[in-house]
Amino acid sequence: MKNSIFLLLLIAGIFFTGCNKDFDPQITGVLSPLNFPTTEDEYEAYALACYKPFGSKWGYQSVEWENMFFSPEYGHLAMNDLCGDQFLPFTNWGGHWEGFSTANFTFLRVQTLGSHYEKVRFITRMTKILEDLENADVLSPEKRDQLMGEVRMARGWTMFFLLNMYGPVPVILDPALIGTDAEADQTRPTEAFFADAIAADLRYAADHLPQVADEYGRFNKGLALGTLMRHYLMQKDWANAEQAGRESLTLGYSLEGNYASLFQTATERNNETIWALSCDAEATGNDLEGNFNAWSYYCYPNNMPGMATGEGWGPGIGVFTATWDFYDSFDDDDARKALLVPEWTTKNGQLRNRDNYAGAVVRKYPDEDGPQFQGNDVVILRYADVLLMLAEAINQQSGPTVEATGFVNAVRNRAGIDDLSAGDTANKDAFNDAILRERGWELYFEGFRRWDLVRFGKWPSALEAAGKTPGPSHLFPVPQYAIDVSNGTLTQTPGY
Amino acid sequence: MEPATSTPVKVFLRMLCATISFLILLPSTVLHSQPGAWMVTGKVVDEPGFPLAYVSISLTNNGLIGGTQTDENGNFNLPVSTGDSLTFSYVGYETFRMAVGALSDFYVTLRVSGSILDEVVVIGYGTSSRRDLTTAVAKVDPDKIPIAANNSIPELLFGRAAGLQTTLNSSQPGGNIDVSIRGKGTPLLVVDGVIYPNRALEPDNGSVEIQGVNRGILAGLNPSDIESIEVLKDASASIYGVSAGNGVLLITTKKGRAGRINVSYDGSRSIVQNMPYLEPLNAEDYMTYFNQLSQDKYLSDKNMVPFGPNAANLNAFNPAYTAEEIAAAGDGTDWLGEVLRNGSIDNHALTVSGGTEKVKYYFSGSYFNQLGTMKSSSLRRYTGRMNLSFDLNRFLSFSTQVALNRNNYSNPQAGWQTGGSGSQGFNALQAALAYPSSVPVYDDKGAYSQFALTGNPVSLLSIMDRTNAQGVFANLALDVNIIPQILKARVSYGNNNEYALRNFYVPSDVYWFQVYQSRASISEDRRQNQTMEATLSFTKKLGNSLKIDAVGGVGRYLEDWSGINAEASDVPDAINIDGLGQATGARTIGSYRGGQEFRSLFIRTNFDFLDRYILSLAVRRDGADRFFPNNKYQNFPSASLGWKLSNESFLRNVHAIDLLKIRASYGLTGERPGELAYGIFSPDVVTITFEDGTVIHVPYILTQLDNPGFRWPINATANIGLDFELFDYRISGSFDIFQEDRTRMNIRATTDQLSLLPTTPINGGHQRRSGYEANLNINPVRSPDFNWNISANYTHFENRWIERFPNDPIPHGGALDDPIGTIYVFETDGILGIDHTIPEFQPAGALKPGSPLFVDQNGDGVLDDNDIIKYSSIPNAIIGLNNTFEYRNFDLSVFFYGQYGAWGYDYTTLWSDPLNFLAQTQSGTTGIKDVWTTFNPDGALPGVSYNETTVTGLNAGIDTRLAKRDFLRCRNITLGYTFQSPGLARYVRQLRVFADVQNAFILTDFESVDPEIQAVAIKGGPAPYPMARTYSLGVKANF
Repeated sequence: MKNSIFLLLLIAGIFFTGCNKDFDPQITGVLSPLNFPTTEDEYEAYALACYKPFGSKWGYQSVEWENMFFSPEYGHLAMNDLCGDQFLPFTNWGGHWEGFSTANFTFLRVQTLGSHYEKVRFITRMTKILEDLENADVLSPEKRDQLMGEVRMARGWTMFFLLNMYGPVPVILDPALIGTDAEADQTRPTEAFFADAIAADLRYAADHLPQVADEYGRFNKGLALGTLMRHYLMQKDWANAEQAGRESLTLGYSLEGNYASLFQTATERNNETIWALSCDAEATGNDLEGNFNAWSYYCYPNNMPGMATGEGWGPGIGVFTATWDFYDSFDDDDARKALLVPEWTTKNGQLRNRDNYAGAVVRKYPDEDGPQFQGNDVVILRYADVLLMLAEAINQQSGPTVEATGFVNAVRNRAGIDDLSAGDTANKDAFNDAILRERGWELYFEGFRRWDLVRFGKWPSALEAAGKTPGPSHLFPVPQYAIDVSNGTLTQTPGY
Repeated sequence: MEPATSTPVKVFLRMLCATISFLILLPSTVLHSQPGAWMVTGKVVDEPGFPLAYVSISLTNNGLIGGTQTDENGNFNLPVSTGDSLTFSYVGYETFRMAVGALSDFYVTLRVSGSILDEVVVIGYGTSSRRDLTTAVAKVDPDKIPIAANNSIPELLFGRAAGLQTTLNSSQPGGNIDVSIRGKGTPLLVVDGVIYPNRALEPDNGSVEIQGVNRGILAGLNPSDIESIEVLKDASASIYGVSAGNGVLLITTKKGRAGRINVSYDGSRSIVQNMPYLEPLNAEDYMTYFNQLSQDKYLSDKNMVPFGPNAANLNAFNPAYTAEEIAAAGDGTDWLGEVLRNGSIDNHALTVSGGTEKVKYYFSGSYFNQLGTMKSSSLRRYTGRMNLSFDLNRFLSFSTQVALNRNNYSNPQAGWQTGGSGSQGFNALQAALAYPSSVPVYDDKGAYSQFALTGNPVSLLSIMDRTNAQGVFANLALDVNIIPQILKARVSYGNNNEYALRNFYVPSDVYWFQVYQSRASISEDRRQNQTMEATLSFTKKLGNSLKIDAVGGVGRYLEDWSGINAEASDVPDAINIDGLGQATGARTIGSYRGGQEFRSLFIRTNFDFLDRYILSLAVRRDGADRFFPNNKYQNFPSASLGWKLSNESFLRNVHAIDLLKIRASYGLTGERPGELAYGIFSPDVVTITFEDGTVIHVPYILTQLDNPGFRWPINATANIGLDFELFDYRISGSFDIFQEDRTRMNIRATTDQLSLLPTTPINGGHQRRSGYEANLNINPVRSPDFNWNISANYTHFENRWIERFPNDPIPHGGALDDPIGTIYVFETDGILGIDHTIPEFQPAGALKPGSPLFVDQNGDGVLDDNDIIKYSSIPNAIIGLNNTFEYRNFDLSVFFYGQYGAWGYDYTTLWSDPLNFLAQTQSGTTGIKDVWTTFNPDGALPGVSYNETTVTGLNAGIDTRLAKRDFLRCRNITLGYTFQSPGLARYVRQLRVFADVQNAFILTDFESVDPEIQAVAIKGGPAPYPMARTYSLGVKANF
């Protein structure tokens, strides 16, 4: 009996404790916050997460599948160019392609956890990384400057994208708020507060990033300054925009002689392109690979033979098809017109032109390499854009100065056409119109049109003139999901 | 099996009786001068002639006077006297009673009991009889299920037990079958006491988006080796607390028995035919409808009448096909015929079993060869098994089970593309639906024709996709009889080791993903599950009234897994997967490794009082390595109670009632945690690349923070049941009603919107599952020549939210406590015709003729959340019904299963979506003929002017693809004949031939492939593997 009691006690004892000897989890294939990051290289690996939204891949898994700012789907060209006045509505696939192409963004309201709005989490992550970089003793001052410059570039640029999608959105910029109830508070800040935060980040980046990055494709000073200038323009802060533009002029960039060469693999690195997505011809959009360029698939119709890769994906019509009006607006001598194809032969030998085809095929990124996709770097910022932006900033303050018209004429002359007419430079408004027109010709299919039309006050009139019926706002609605979980703190974008 | 001779009470009684009878009978004994008692000897066997050990034999003569039991060889001896009779009883067999007469040598054959109450039920660390069970345990006896065409255990389970939901996910050879208990997740699988992984091991094929594989669980087990499958549904599963939240499936393999060598052979040959599949348009219809639909699209795009205000003007519209082309088109190519075929199955299994007093053995080998009903799809499986046990001496016995299996699959080109690609990623079966019948297989030059972006269906069949999977299962156990019949110890070690290799190769002459490029991938996965347990079990009868059974033990459960994969493009075809190093194109490699451990302590005690009241108490303490030390362990107690009403004095004499038992159970179980409580910096799968992709950085991102409070989830299950057997077991069955509360669920929850991490592991949510289930066995006719048995089961459950997860808002149109799996949609009713007035609430994007007409449920003129209606994706009822008829040597069984009340989206309707059809990248199915057009104003499907993806502003889906998934399937019709000729019996002890039709027919209103088979929404449309009907002829022989 004694033995039984002893046994019972023993069993009871075991039941209240359990055996914990050698019972730690096996955690494989990952690192632990207990000992990472510690070295300079590790801090770099930690900070490089800041590039995640700035790639050209299909997207990445976050809470749900989320697109990058330069993904083919929901990327900069769909969000800013397809919706514009230069491209036809594309209704064959429905969904987001139709939504963007008709400039009616209402469909974005029913997005859930895969929308760009989710990138407010990315802001918090950047804030955390910045705090950790600041406190990292192991970093040399130069390395810290470079990494913090890249991270602040990423944070400021992300906020710039978000501001011009949704208006000001809630963000955490103070690391002390991470892990607190502030994470659930989705009250929108004022636009001024948000715009200042963007400017501060981009200014920091401009002051700390190298002019030439040690690896081609990393953020550089020119990108920070150009983005800062665009941000000031969008805020109609012309003086600061001009100042940022003048700083850019000192960086030594120049216009390339051959416009078409800017978009070709062989000549993708040049003195005009300030920052581009450095693409890999072997990449297929997979996360493990390099950036890819899939644009020929979206520009060519599926019965148009490609040059190096397969036919396009659009059913009988390219997803991005330039309107004939836009095609016809070019001067015939304009080198930029040559990247639009007005006449071609289908795989079955049928001739396609304006008699039987809805618009001009965009061949800005010719499919010269392969095997599946292309390696042409996708240009995100180049010097011609800086010149046009600077002209715009000067004109808004001082009217069409010789200097400002000179910037625009330089861009025109490079394309093989004459200076602006006297009428175009007669006064501030005329010059302003000429700048927008020039931006359309120079920068079509480079991801700026929606912003430009808004800034120049042509949204929605330019769209209506092009036969589109835009939705309630040039901004996007935030997903209803985010409002549903916000406990009443998040307000819908005006108009929706 | 009770040791009648050993208890003092019995001995005392026997002595008393003997004394009394001596006193009474003494005079006559003397008078007749006959011996008053003599020794009899005998042997007890079962019907096939195997000795039965430990059969209870009681001796009566107007009252119990003694007894004994058979030894391990079925032999017995005991003293008898004139007028005595002997009663032989053994669990699972009919009780047999005979008068001693003047015999001195007995040979008794016991028949298997027709009463289910006598069947032995494995309950985890022990057995019980249905009569004594206090919990909800269902048993499936594979011997009663036709297995000719079945290669896996889940295939045996369709509709066979109440509370068990078995859903065919993919009909490909070795395809996945979802098994769940009461609608929970995949249950814990325990094979001969060893934990088995409950998901298939299937290496992927790298980044290639062609993926037809949907593999099932338990692929390595040979169904004919299985003795029984028990389903622990309620708190009975608590003894497997370690991960029993979804219930437990206990699988027991056959063992050898003492006696002569038994050789048995099971063989069958089956022909497999596809059931009706999606029906493609023929060439003429393809061209006709293409012209009609594209004309409508032209008018609609230009907002011409009737789609808009502009005057209709078709001058610029050029139909794709001329009237001559259409007239000459005919039927065209039968693309489905090019990729589908009739399949076949050869199934052979040989078993040798037997044993002696000391050694028992069971050897088996099987061969299963299935040619799929899709070309290039096949499964070839070999299994071998050796189950041995040795009684080393009175105290020690040793047993082992070793099983090997090898499964070679040629994976089908069916299903759907895995990534976001469109028709360029189609597999052969999708391509067969996508290629218009007007396209010939070969072009003018004799090369494969090519349509749009998709590879030629026939050429895609030459893509190699093979999986070779093999497994080794070994289990060793040592039993120590510390006090024979009372205290027993057992130490066991089980190891299940699996390995799978997938070879995938797209030859360079196959156009796929818009290029002719060779692409190769090799993936290897390996995993191991180890179960180590030590148990101590105790059985004792205290006096006449109380019997105690107790078992306690400790266990360690280790899992580990690893894998590697390599992928390369531009490999020479002659080298293909055998030399990825020769690739000149891109290469990718990867690997992974991991492991986890669980530890447990458990005790269960059964108290059986007066054979009327049974109480069972159990507690299990489980530990998981993945939690912080203070939260690693959790106790999971349970209790159950049974009351055998029929053994009470007030019912004992009611002969109509064989058994009436009420039972109740309540217990906690834990679900195997999937998430880790520790902080992690993960290498991001999104690499950051510079310099044209030549500089690759792998950023490390914080994906998880330390979460010391993270702990085991708790499922509390309550179950009340009734077991009954009436009218000499003509009617028997059980009824259960249950409720289960899942709390502290372990999930990876979405964090607050501004959080650093997108998701984080939490304990949260509360779900309540409730339902009832019944099974009923009826034996309406029972005669020597004709026997008819009906068995039926019915399952109903629902699972509701009580508390949702954080950041998981209630769906629009829903309520907090809606059932999980509710589908929320706007109803549509009919099509907006040309002359219809457009209702004011009709949403934007559905305003043109040909759009579905939305229903404003509350009539307030606005389409909002109040107009959303709900459908259940969970069946209201799941049923199984089996009829078995035995007439002389013939037996016929007809088995049905089905479900009703479930709805689901039928995404195969994407093949009849007019916009997909007009995209010029794919043809369509005959559903296109039902599309509303100006040519077909009575069409019931939305027309070209409507695109569901651009109907904006709705907070819920639209019901146009929703379909009811009710069905009743005739799973098996089996006719058998057992030979019973004395001449034959000299060579074959038992010989049965049978014919079986599996999936004979289905009653359903579901229109496309099959209501059970799932297909996802994918660009273009999914092409699930076709459902098939199987005709089998087979033989079963015992030598």
